[in-house]
Amino acid sequence: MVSAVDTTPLTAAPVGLAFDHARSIALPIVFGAGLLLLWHLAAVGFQIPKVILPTPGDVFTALVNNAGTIWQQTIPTVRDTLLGFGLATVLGIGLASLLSFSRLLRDAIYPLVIVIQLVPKIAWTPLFIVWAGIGWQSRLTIATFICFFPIFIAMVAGLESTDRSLVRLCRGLTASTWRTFWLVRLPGSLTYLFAGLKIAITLSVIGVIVAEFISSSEGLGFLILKSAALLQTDMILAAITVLCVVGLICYGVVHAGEVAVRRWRGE
Amino acid sequence: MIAIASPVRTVAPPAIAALLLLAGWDLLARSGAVSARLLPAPDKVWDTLLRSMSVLLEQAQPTFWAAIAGILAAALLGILLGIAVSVSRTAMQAIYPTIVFFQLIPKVALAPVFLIWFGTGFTAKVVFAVFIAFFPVLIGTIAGLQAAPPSYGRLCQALLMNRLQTLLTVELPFALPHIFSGLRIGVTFAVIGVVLGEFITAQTGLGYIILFSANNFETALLLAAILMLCAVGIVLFALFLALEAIVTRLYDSR
Amino acid sequence: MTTDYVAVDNVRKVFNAGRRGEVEAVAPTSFRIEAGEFVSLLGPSGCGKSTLLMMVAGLEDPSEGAIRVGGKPMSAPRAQTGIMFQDPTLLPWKSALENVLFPFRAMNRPVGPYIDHAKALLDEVGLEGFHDHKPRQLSGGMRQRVAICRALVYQPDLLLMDEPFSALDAITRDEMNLVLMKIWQEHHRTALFVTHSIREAVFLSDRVLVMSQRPGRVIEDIRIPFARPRGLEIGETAEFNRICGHLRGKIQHRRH
Repeated sequence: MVSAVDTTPLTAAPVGLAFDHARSIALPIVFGAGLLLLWHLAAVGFQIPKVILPTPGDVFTALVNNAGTIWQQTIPTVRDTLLGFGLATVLGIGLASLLSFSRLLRDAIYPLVIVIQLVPKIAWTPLFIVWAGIGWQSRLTIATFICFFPIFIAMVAGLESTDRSLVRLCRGLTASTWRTFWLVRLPGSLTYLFAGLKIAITLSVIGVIVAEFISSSEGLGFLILKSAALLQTDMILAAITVLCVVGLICYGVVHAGEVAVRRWRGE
Repeated sequence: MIAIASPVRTVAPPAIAALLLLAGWDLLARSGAVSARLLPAPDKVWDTLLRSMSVLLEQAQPTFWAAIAGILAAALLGILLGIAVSVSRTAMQAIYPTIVFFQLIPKVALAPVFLIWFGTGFTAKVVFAVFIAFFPVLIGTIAGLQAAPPSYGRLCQALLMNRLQTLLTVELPFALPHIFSGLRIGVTFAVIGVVLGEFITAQTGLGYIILFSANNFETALLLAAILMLCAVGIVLFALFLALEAIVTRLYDSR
Repeated sequence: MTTDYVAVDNVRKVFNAGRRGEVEAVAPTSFRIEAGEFVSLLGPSGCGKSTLLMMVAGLEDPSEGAIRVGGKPMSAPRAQTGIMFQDPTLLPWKSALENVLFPFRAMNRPVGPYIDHAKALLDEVGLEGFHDHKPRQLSGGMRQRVAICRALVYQPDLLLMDEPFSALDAITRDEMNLVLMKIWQEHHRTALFVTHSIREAVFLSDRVLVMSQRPGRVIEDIRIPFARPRGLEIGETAEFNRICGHLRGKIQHRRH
C-alpha cells in the first residue's frame, strides 16, 4: 500500500493535502479573529458603554489585572467539578455493572432512572442546597448528580451492546459470569462509556457554576454573579474566559482518553 | 430465540421499584430521623401540590411560553444557519470549529451577561433560552445535511438538478431525523435556560418558585414545583414528538 | 474399534414464539458421530441445523430426547468442546495471539504454558508475522483463521463449527476449506460442521447428514469415499459431482 502512494507524482498530492490541512486550521482562526474584530468594532463604533459591551481589549485587561482573584476563585470550581465527575464515574459504572448481572434489577431500576433524568436536572439544584447546605458539599452533590445520568446511561448501553456471539462463546468456554463481565463486557463497553464521560464533564462544570450562582461565597460562578451585581461586565467576561479554558482542558483530557481507547481497540 | 416481552413484565418491575422507593421515602420521613423541613413525607408533597395548584399553574405559564418561544426561535435560527453553513465548504471549514467551541463551553455562565443586556424580564429569559438551545439544533442540522449517501449527490448531478432542488428533495429529507434529534435536545436546553434565567432574575416562573421555597425551607412546595416543571417539560417534549411525526408523515406521503 | 463419540437420540427442539404459540425448530431426530470422524450437517437455511449444533455444544437445551458426548449426557457447555461461529467473534482490542489464548483467560487458567503452542497454531494456518495484529487490521479470512486456532488451542476432543465460512467470498472460502482440512488432518478431532454449501460439505467430510426443511430432521446419511489427504482437485472428479448431485436432489425433493 505504501508503494502505491510512492508511485504517484510527488508534487501534486502531498502539496494539495498540506494546503488543505493548512486551510482547515487557518480558516477557523481567521473566522474567530474576525468575530473578535467585529466585536471590537461594534463596541467602539457604536460607542456602546463599557458596562454593556466592553471591548476584547478591556476583557483582557480585566483578566490580567485581576489574575490573582480569578485564580483564587478558579480553584474551588475546578475542585468541585472534578470531584463530582470522579464520584459520578465510580457510581455510574458501579450501578450499571451491578444491573448487568441481574435482568430483574435492570428491568426495575433502569426505567426509573430514565424517568428521573427527564426532569431538568438544573431544577434540583436548590433542593440539594436545602439538603447539603451552601458549602462545597452541595456543589459536589449537584455535580455528581448531574454527571451520573449520562455516565450511567452510556455504561448500561455499552454493557448491553456486548456482541451476543461473544457472550455465547464465553458460555461455550464455560467462563463464569464474572469472567465474562471482566474479559468481554467491561472492555467492550469502554467506547460507550467515554461518550457518556464527554457529556458528563461539560455538565459537571455547568452544575457547579449554577450551584455557585444560587448560593455560594466562592468559585467562578460566585465571581461572575458578584461582578454582574456591580455591573463589571469586563470582569464577568474575564472570569468566563478562564472558565471556558478550564472547561476545554477538562474536555480535552477526557477526549484524549477516548482516543487512547479507540487506538487500543485497533480503530 | 424469540421472546416477546409482555406489558406486565416491562411495567411491573419499575412500578414495584418506584413503590418501594416511595415507601422508603415515607418511612424515612415519618421515622423522624430526618427533619420534616428537609424531607416532607410523599403525601405532604401531594397535598401541597393540590393546594398550590393555582399558583403553580399560574407560574408555569411564563416558564412554558418562554421555553416555547426560545425553542421556536432557536429552531428557526439553527436550521437556517445550518443550511447556510452547509452550502459552502469554505464556510463550513471556517465556522464549524467555532460552533464546536460554543457547544463545549459552559454557556450557562453567560446568563448574568444576558441580564445586563436584556433586563430581568421575559425577553432575557427567552434570549438566553435561544442562546443555549440554538447549538444542538445547528449541529443536528449540519450533521443531517451530510447524512445523504454520496451516491445520491451524484444521482442529482446526473439528473441535472440544481442546488435548491437537491436540498429540498434529497438532503433535507435525509437530514430530518438528525434535525429532530437536535430539536429534542434543544427543547430540554430551552427549559434549562428559562429555569436558570428565573433562578437568577427571581421574578416569576417555576424557577422562581423553586428558589423561593428553597430559601424558605418549604421543601414540600419545592418538590411540588419540580413536579410541575416536570409536567411542563413532558408536555413540551410531547409537542415536539408530535411535530416530528407530522413532518415525517408529510415527507413520506409525497 | 469404533466408538460413538457423539450420540443424538430423538432430540426435538421447540421454541416459544410468544403469541404465535410454539415453533418446532428441530423434529425428533437421531444420529451418531464416531470418534475422529468429520461430519457435516447440510440443509437449507432456517432448517434448524444451527440449533442442533448449539444443543450438541450445550448452549441450548433439547426440549425432548438426549445428547451424549464422550459417554456423558450433555446439559451445560463442557470445557472440552471447541466452537466456531459464522462470525469470527474476536475481541477487537486484543491481538491475534491474545485472541487465540482467550479460552485460557475465560476458564481462568494460566496462559504461560500455551503461548508457544498458540504461536505454532497461528503459523500453521499461515498467520506468521500477524501475531500482534488487532482483528481490525486482518482480513475476513485471516480472522476466521484466528478463530480456528482459538477453537483448537486448548486441545478439545470435539470441534463444533456453525457455518464458519459462509460470510466469506468464494475464493477465500476455498482457501479456508483447505486450511481447515490441513489442520484437521494434523490434529484429528471429532468434528461436526454445519453448512448450507453442498460442495463444502462433500469436500470436508467423512459423512454428510442432510436435514429437511423446518422442522428439521436428518433425512439422509451419506459416507464420502474420498481418501485423505484431499486436495481441491477432487472437486472436479465425476464422483464428487455425482455425490453433490445426489445431495442436491435430496434437498430439493423435500422443498416441494
